[in-house]
Amino acid sequence: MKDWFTDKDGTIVLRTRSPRAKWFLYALLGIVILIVIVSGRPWFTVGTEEQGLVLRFGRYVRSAGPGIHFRWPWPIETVELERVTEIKRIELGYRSTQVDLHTETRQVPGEQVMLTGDQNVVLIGLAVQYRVSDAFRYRFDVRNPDSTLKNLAEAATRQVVGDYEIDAPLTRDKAAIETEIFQKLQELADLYGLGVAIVAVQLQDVSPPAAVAGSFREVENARQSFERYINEAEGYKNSELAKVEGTVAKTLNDAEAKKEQRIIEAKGEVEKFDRILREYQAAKEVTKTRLYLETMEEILPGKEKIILGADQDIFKLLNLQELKGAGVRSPFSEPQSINQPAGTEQR
Amino acid sequence: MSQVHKITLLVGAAIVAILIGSCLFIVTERDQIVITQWGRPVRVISGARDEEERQAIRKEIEEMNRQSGLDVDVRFGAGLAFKIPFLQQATRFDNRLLEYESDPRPITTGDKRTLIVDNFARWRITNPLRFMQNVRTEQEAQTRLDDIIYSVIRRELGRRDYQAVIRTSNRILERELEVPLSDTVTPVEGGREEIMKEVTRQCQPLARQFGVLVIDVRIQRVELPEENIQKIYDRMQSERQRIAMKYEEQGKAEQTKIKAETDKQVRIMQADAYRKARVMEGEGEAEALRVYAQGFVETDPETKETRQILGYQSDPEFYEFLRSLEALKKAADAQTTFVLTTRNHLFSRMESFD
Repeated sequence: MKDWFTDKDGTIVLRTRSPRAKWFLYALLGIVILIVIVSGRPWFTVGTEEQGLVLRFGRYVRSAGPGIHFRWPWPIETVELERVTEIKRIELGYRSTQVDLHTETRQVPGEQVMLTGDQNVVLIGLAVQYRVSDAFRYRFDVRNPDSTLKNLAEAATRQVVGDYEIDAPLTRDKAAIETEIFQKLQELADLYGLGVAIVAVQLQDVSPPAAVAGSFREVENARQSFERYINEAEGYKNSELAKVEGTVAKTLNDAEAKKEQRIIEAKGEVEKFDRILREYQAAKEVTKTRLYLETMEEILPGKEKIILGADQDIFKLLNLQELKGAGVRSPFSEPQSINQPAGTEQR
Repeated sequence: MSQVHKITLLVGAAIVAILIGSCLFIVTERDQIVITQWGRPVRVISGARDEEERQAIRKEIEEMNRQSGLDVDVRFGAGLAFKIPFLQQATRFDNRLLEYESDPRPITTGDKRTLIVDNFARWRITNPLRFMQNVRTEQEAQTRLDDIIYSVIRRELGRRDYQAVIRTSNRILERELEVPLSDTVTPVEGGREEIMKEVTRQCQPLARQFGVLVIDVRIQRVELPEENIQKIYDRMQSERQRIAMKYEEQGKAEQTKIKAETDKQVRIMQADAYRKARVMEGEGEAEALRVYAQGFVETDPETKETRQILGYQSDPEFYEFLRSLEALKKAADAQTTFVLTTRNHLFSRMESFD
């Protein structure tokens, strides 16, 4: 006994005795249809870092941002996802690998060696960071866009380094070289239509070839000893100048002290004179006599004295002078005859 | 409807579905198609995206139709495409930018130096029909490209200097350098960028003959043969030693200069101080002389009263008297013998007793 037959229009009609079995068959049919639809996957999700490209029979029709989207089930529409926010990396001259928590780098000699414009050789490592800026071009317009960009990075780096002298990448113009490679690389990527945007170009290890590394170190040492010579000289200069400043200050202070001392002492002497003078002016004759007599009193005691009468001849004393063998200080007959100019007085 | 009818209907439907399925095929964005019928091309589905390129390819195909009596139809873009099953065949070609990389090869430059040059190019198939007729496969195209590019590069490098291959411009000659350039660095005409543009320009018409557009030919690496490298290393070494020596000598010279300048400065400062000191002493002496002669005016710090202190000048006679007494005191020591007469002031009284 068949459970189904076709009516006069050819439609398949279910025929069953119990309504319960009929419902069961309808449910089964519903599930089968659902499975067919679901197996065509009429929806898709795009991650936050992705962009979805929807293709209808292979032709690009629209792109989809992050989130859930619907599409015609396979085989009508298909979706390709591209990670557009991810920063990709190219390493030139070296390869780094993550080992546990640290990065190990390995040199790639063939990529490192570059010729410079001053006909020298330099070893260069370069890192390029880029991201997909045009997912359509990146996916559909270029075969192997990443290796193409790597070729370009190498060509651009060599071209730029070839236009500089060896010291530029080694020391002086790293930043300028990076900028130039960056611009050149973006220009070439656009020419090729790679659909990428360069994010950063960074020079990594830049070194002279191992065969001549020693002489480069020598230059570095010489540069340091140049600095040392200068520093030593500057040290000498500073200490000598400090020393001489000290002696200059001492000289000037001494001189000033001498000056002040001289003036103050002069004032003292003049003040003494002033006092005596004032007294003298009060009683000129008496004071003068007293001063003279007092001086005599002071100097005559204990000394040899020869007193002659007024009419006695002084020449009788000549042999006495010889006996004494010393000059006779003349006892000036009048105190006024003492003659000593003020200016030659010695303290 | 009889049972037989139903079965015929189902089989018929299945056959139609298979027929339709084999008529239709998907052309992706990455593809270009040439459809042939018994080996004779009838349709091209080009991947050209912009209008200008499409016009160009349309014109090219029309030209080919005229020349070889074909009747090829041109379509553009990805999507569903149709062909007659069994009778027609679809051949796919890549619509993307494709690679070309050469092996490193020695090339001699115009100044007879051997360089090992490694270059790459990027190209795409712009005319799939011509491509199919001339090279058929990508491998074949690579071989043809290699022939073209190598010969053009060899010719272009052969008429240029080694330096022009390395450099792009002459700016190195204008840069301020720590190390002077060796005499062998001379101005060049053109440079690498220009060479590559020229190579690309010359390769393009040759590659067009098999339906390929060469986008760019680029020198990736230029290396020197081993024996030349050693020469460069030797030169680099001597150059560096010269620089090191220069630093050493400059440092010493600079040090001597600074020290000598310091010594000079020190001596000048000392002399200056000496001079100032002497002037000051002179001023002291002069002031003292003035005080001795003229006396001075003293101001009492508390009462602000001024008082004239008299100098020697106010009574030169008395000063002379006083000063003589003082000198007398100093002159008279223990050995002094005084010879005095009674006329002396001191003994004048004795005289009167006579």
